[in-house]
Amino acid sequence: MTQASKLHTPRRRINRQWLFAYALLAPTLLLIFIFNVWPLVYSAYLSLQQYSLLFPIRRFVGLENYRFLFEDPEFIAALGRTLYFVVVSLALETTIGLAVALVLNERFFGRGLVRTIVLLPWAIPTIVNGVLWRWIYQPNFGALNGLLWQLGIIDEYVHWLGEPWRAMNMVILADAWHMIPFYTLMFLAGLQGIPDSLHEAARVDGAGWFRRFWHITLPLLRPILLVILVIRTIETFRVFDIIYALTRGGPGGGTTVVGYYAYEQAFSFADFGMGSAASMVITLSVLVLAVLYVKLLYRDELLH
Amino acid sequence: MRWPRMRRMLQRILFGLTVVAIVVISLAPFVWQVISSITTDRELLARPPHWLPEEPTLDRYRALILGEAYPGISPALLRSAANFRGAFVNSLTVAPLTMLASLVLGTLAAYALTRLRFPGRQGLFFGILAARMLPPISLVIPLYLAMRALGLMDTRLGLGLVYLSLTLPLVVWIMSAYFRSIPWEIEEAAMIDGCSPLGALVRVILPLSAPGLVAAGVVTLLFAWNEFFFSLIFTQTLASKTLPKAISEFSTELGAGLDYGLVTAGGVLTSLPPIAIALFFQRYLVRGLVGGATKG
Repeated sequence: MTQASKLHTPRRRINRQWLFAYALLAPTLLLIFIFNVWPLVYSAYLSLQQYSLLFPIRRFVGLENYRFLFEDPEFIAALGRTLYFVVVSLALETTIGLAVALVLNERFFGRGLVRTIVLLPWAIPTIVNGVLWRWIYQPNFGALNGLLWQLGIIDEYVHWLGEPWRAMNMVILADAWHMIPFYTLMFLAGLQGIPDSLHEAARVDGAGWFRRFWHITLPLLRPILLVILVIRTIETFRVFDIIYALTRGGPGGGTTVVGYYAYEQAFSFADFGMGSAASMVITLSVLVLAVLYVKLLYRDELLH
Repeated sequence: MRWPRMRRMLQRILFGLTVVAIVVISLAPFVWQVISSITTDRELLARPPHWLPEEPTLDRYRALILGEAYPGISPALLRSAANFRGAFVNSLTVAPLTMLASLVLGTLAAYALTRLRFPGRQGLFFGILAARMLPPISLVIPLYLAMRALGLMDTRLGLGLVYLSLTLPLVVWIMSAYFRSIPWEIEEAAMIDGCSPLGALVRVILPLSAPGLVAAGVVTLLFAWNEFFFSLIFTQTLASKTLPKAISEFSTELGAGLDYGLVTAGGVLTSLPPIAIALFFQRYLVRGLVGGATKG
């Protein structure tokens, strides 16, 4: 009798704890299921259908949409532009973000204030940043033209968003101004975790600034650098807002990245099948990166 | 003998100049937005630009906040300006409510994931984290069809629920990192003193992880206030349209003759709340972004 109850109590308590845990998790899991998991699965299903508001018949077509995508030179070009956007953005933003963080990690008068000011661009909503830069790049009355002309750097006003490649680079610049504070913030947090004694010791041993940076700072920043790179790779791969605000994919499709391509298929051409297929390509690419992300994070946690 | 001192001074000057350059570049575009917003239409069309307006005006702010017309404003533009007020109210409703709901639900989930033992714990944790990586474009088409079918299209509730689902993983992530840093013993002591697990969470653990709550709150609030993509597709009228969508329409309704004056004024008003929040809670922001990433 007593034996049985002794055996029972713990198991019942464990089961109650399970129930309690599931009850706490239920709302979160339900919301994530309805708004994230189900749409993802349904999107995959839609990508196998001919489903366009312009055609009356909705039917299963297998991988037809994907074949069409990869035979569409515009989609291949959009993939290429996306890669360009990702690589150039990341290189530019990492370099400048790290440089700014190194400067702001030194001791100087007013450092706290400067660290606060530097954050400002990041707090501005992406779409506001987009229209702001559209005004700065404005070909006839924009500030960039005015400034460069007054400094004598250009003789004539430039149509910054008027040519495909230039437009792409200008979009990258506008996005970089907005996002660099995020890098700076993360790098500063990383730099603050490096004990001064390491640098002191190296200095005593006669190591110059560059050698200390290369052999102490950079290796110790590696974990946070990885986190930043993967988060930003995922973000830039699906870039949309700044393109919508600055160029709407133009001129002549010159800034149509995959995210914008998928949006146009679905919401400009009302082709949900093709739109879903394009977005599945994005999702699969991002998923590969996400797995990498979780793995890197996980390994990092094991190291700690 | 003098050289090292000269070099040090030169280094200092260079360093100072770098700091000044960083500050100027960080501020200039936003300052230009503020200046443009108080420059009259006539002066906005100057070539080269008037860096400081000769006759500054607050007309546009009056139009956006009070709905007052000013000389030269077209009826269509005045309507856009009036829309702005409605969008402000929508943003002011959706963003804080999203934040509150997300904090409550996300905290409970994070507590279960870090403090309770049950089957499937690890899997669920990584599953929730993975949801954070999903590109919005892969969710938007099914959600669009579903919301149209359920009558949630163009409602604040529909938009808020989507935002809630997108911010929950973030809150779970940040709060889990916080809970993990709080030693078990504190909680055990509370439970021995007669607290239930939920009581221990509310009375002991939450106060200790207040910085985490602030961090998660700030990140969630900024997300919901700034989000554009879902607002673009799920909102149409003033019933639910948020500020980013309203701003994007200042620049399209007017076609080629874009009214940059009103766009910049609206941009300043939309940016001020997130800027104030980000700067005021700067310390927490760093923790919010880094706390979950690398637990240091």
